[in-house]
Amino acid sequence: MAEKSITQEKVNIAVDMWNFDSLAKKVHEEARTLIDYFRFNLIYYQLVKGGSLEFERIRQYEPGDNIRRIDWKVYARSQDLTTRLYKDECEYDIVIVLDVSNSMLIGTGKMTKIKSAALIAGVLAFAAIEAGDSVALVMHADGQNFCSEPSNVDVMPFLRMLTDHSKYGGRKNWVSLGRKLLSNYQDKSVVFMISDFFDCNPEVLLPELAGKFSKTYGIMVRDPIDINVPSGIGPMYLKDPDTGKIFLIDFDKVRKDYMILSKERVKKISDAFHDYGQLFFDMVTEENFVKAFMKSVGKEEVISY
Amino acid sequence: MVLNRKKRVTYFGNFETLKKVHGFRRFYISPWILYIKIIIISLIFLTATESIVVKKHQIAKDTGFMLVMDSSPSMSMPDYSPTRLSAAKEITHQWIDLIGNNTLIGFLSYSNFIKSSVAPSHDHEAVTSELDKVEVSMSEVGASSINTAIDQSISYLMEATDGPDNETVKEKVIILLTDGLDQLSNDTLARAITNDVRIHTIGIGDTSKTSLLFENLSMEGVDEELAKHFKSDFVSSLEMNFTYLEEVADMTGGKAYLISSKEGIMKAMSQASLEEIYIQLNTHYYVLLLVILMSILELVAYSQLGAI
Repeated sequence: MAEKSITQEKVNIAVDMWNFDSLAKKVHEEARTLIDYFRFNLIYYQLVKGGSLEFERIRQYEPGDNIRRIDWKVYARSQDLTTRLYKDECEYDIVIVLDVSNSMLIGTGKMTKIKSAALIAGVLAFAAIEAGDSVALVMHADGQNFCSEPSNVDVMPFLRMLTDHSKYGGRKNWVSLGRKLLSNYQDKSVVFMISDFFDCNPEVLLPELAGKFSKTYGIMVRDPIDINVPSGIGPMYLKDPDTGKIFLIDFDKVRKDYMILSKERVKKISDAFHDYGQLFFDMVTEENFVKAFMKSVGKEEVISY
Repeated sequence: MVLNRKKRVTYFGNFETLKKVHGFRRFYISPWILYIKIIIISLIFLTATESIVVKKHQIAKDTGFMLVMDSSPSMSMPDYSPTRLSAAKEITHQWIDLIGNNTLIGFLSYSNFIKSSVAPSHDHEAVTSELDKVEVSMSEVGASSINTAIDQSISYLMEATDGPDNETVKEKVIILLTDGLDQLSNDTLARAITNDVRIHTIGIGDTSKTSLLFENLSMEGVDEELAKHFKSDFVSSLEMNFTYLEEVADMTGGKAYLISSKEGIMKAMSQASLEEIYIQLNTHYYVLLLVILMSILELVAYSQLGAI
């Protein structure tokens, strides 16, 4: 798999990204599966609202009610349209934070990390808007401070923002990101952070975010080369996308240690999220996000169903 | 090679982990490390072969100078401000100040006879005093006494001594300022060559004003015969003498300068009083010191780049 794609090929930063039409098509395909899963398992509500929903009462259907609240069993019996109401059902802002820094723009697998991350962001946004919540997008890198206002009108403007390539690129700045989120969004927000989490110290980032926002979730997107390098490659020229410096690295000498430390890094970040009671999910660009997410969320002990 | 390398470069993001495992073996390709190495190796080679020689110009040492100044009537031309002779005297004063007291300087002025002379010594005041007295007289027409002037100068230089042991000066130099020259006799030239007397010749040539001034030259108060003689001498001196000045300089190991401005006189006199020396760099110190510094620089570069 990875042998061909990473061997001695130049990876052109910022080449492999979605255009609007292809992203829109893909989001609709993938999101439908996720939304069905969410709806069936009420997992979305648990993710965003936290805890299980408590049924309060039924009332007559009124125009504008969320059609997912319609009690279809009652309708089947009496042809009467009624709406189920739950306690503590309030509107949340979903803040999707997309890391658009330089390290996200590269990829050696099926797609670049940013492409994979943009798809995840689009799918989550679609699901949230379908659920009636407002979605805001933050595209973050040092020097790039794009924050949109929460909106639940339609997912298309959101996808347009995701395919604005002029906003991609820059170094990571977790401190600046934390400040931006804290100052721009309300307490009743659920934050999804989509990143490779390089140079991230979750012990510094999470306390404030977890303290302010309703939920803060981490979705780690990794490239195959972030985890492992195939053997037999020999010395490779690697370029740092932030500094432009070129290094000559012999991976064969450090492969095992590299794999071990890569796993430890992910575990450290994952543990930090769990310590603060948040969901953490990691995937590789080779995987299908929806399937992997459904599988991961289904296992999460944080979510009680 | 660089182009080929660019094609084989892979962008990589997980340097955070890589730094921890690769550590000091991470090697940053920098051409500067190679450049430093080349410089070090070159310097070591030059040190070993003692090939580093530096050319330098300095005021001639162990040298006796005789300033021989033409003060014939043609030197009264006002094309140099105020006149050729005045300009030459002014510049000579500046030159003496530049040379410094450690140098032997003598002076001699001539027209159709030797008008004044001072043997070379450290007493520059005596020289400047005689210099100030030099004037032009329109009656001093006729054959130039340049031959006698040069002969006298050679004699002065051969007798000149210097240093605590009163040794004869090693280098003997005549600086001749003239705007016209009769031919030196072969004997005089041979004497100069035999006694290693270098003759630098400074030909005071025309300026942009010369022709016009000459046409309008007022000879009021000057005897008609003298005026006619002056004019004919002056024309002949303008036309052909610099070639001969060059030959004289060349034969005696000096240099010839044709000048057309007051500043040119100073430049020519300064250059005439310089000597070219070759210094072999003390390779045991300076170059090796540089090698050590370059090596330290390379070491620092390696450590900054994570190699050590």
